Amino acid sequence: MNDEQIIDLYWSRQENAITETSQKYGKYCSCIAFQILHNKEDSEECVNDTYMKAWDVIPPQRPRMLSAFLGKITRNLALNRYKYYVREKRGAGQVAFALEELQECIPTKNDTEQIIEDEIFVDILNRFLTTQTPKTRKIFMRRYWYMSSIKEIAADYKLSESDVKMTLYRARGELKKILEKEGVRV
Amino acid sequence: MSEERLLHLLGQVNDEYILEANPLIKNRKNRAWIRWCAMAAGICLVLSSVFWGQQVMDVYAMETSYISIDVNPSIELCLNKYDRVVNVIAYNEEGQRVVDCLDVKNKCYTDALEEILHNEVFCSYMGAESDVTFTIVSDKEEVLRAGIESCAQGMEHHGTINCSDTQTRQRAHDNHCSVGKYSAYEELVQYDDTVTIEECRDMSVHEIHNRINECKSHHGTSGSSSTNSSDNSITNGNENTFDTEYDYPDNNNSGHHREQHHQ
Repeated sequence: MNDEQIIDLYWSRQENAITETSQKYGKYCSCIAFQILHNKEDSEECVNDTYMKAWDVIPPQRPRMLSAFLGKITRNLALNRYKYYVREKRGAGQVAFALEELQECIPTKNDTEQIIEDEIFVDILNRFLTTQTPKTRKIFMRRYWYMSSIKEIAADYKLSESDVKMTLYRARGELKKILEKEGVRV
Repeated sequence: MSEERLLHLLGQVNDEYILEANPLIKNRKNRAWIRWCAMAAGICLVLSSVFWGQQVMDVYAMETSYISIDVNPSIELCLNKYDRVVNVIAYNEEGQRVVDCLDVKNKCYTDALEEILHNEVFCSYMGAESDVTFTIVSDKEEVLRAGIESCAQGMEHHGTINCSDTQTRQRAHDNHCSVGKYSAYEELVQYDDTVTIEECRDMSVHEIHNRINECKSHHGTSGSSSTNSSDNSITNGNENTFDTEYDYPDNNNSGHHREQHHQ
């Protein structure tokens, strides 16, 4: 069943929309959740919550890319759950490392106000990603969107871990420059 | 936590970038690459198998030796390098009748000869005075001759084993005749130049040999006008005789040399 047909099922409020979604994107969503939470049960719960969230928002929404739409929901839910665990001194995974690394990108010269529109910031991020080479962009997204470990990225793209680290270091530096240039502080 | 906010905002980037880095899609691509390689390897394997198989079949089907069997039925067995029958040719109606009830393809030539010599139709053409002539065209005459001799040991009729060459075989084929009968014709025509291949085609080997002997008597030559051939005849338990003759290319119109040694 293609994405359009699955979305039609959501729109016609047929419950097998969730079954079809699970069959097609269950693994993808589980993968995203597991990379953040590193716990199978929590990941499964997170994926189930994703289906429920999708059921709630479609309609009125009609996602252009169902996989990315579901991935975003899963990622947000998993990050929220991760935050909860961190607060509770629980959980593990790559998020802590990713956060630490991303700290380098945040401008520090003006630490007064940190108010910026999310949309503007996301637009800057998109522009930054557009300027990157496909390889750098994929590595960057694998690390900071999918929370993959350096080792996994290196293995998947057949690179050495130091290559991946260097690519990420340069990308973070460029992002920082762009953010500073735009006067953005997160 | 500002870095935490950054991480959340990064989650809202364009869908294309998210899908582009999808680890599962990448894996799928990897698997697709492996599948393509496996498919290519499979195709190569199949093609090489087909090619190799074709080569083997070509070698197997290649005719390298010939055994012509002539009574009145004239049959020719075409053998490959493994001495297996890859083709059977009938040169007259009688031969065709025998071939029609034979199943000797892919058999070893000795098995094929056994089957022919014990074939009911073939035996029906074997009269009391019939001669069986085996004519070998091969690079390994000795081996084939030994095989023929062992097969013909129990035969109740007079048998002759000749050896000929590919040029004679070609001339025989050009005249729609088996090499055995054509060799006999070439010998006869030395004594009687009025005889034609058309006449000989309808004659049995025994009749041609009788004509040769008559001509020889008429010319005052004996039947043992041998020149330079060795004694290769064998005798079976019934004291019937197998003679070995050698036909050579007709370079100086001398025909073939025949030598008979009866034990």
